[in-house]
Amino acid sequence: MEEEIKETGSQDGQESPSYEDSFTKVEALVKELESGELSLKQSIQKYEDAVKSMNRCYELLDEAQKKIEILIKDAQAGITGRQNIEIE
Amino acid sequence: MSEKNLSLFGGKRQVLTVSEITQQIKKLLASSFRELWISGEVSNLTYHRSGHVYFTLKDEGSSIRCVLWRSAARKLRFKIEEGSEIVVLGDISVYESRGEYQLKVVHAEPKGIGALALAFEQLKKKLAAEGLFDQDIKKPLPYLPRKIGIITSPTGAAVRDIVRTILGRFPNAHIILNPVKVQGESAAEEIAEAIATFNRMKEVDVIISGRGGGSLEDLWPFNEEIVARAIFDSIIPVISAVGHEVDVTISDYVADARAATPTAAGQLVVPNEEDLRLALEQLRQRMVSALRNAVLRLREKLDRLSNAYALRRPMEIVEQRMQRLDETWRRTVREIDVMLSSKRNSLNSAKSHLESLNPRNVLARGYSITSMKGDSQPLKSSAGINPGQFIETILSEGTIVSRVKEQ
Repeated sequence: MEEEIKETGSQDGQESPSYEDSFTKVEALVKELESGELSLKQSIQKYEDAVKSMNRCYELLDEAQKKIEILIKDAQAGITGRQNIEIE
Repeated sequence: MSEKNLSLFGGKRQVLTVSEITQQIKKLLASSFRELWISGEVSNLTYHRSGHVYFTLKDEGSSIRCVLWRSAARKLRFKIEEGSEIVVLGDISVYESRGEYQLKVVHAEPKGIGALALAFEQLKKKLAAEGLFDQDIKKPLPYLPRKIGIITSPTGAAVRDIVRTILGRFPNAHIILNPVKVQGESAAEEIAEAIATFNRMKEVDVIISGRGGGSLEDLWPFNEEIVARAIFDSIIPVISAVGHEVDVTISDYVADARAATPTAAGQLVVPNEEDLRLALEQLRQRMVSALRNAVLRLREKLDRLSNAYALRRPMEIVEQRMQRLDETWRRTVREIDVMLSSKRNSLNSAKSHLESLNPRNVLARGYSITSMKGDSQPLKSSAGINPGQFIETILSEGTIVSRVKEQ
């Protein structure tokens, strides 16, 4: 492959792509791959991009950690802290 | 059958039984007091096991016993509470065995609902005119929020329902609860402040604001202007989840999404993780197949191309040309042969024809040529030949001179 494979995410600026954006991107790439009108080089490139975006989706799902917090409020000072709680 | 008695003193007394007088009172009251609206304070409230509700309506000077049958009680949209001010619709009847009159209530409303309902309509109109309810300014909810903010009472069923529903769909959710009063004085202010707080913190991707079911008064904070404006000003999308299906509040109109119940809010705010993973897996399989097929197709294309190319190889062209040349040569040779043999045949037949005409062959067969002696002209006829003349006969071998004797 003569071409450099561009990194996704870094071009979006500060925020990494959301789940929805990544998933939509994979869908679009797969449609292109299925169209059968790509060259070999294009096909491989699109496949790799799709893999990147799909990994991003899995990342977002796997990284999530259960946490339930309650804000602690003071009449004058407003929010003074937080606490983890369990909710039955 | 009763006798009319117009005077208590002297004359005949008309003595009634207790039941008789009770019946008269009952008829009188029933016909005089029908379909009355009466307001008062609830006391001695009893929710009977049978489903019927017994209570006393009172004011400063008087009280009246009330009964609300189960069928009517079920239709009430609010719960009658001890000490609350209500307005009821009913008929006066007599409870015969106790000799008490009572109010048979067919419908009840909390007092002052007129005022609240009016306030609701007025605010709704005002905010709608300002465009707070417009569809196109509503923000879309994040598909998979990273953090979920909930504004509700920390106790009660609502928060439990919301959290349980969220965790049931997405077990690793991150939820931040901002606890508030959800009814009574200053509740509206607290709710509005909570929305603003989440916006300042910039942590959560979506906010659920709501509470469980209750009377119009209970839900009233979610109809207040301060809450509506806080929802409108919120940059973070807000889901309004107040009360039950039938309770529509101003918050519901302004919010970016409305959930009819707390459970519905939990379903709205977060997708089902299993569904997401399933969709990802299906997409992954499509992806792999697509690439495989794309490569196969390109391979086929390549094969076809290389086959076409092989036919155009230079040597093949030369070989083909040479082959054609050979063919042409062979054809030509054959034609010449044919031509030659036909010519030969005609020559041969001419030759044999000629041969057959050769006079020597004739002579060899025993024929002779006779002519007048000294004349080479062969004789064909005996006419003109006289006896005594000399003739010459050429044989195959030799010549004979003869004298004609006779003819």
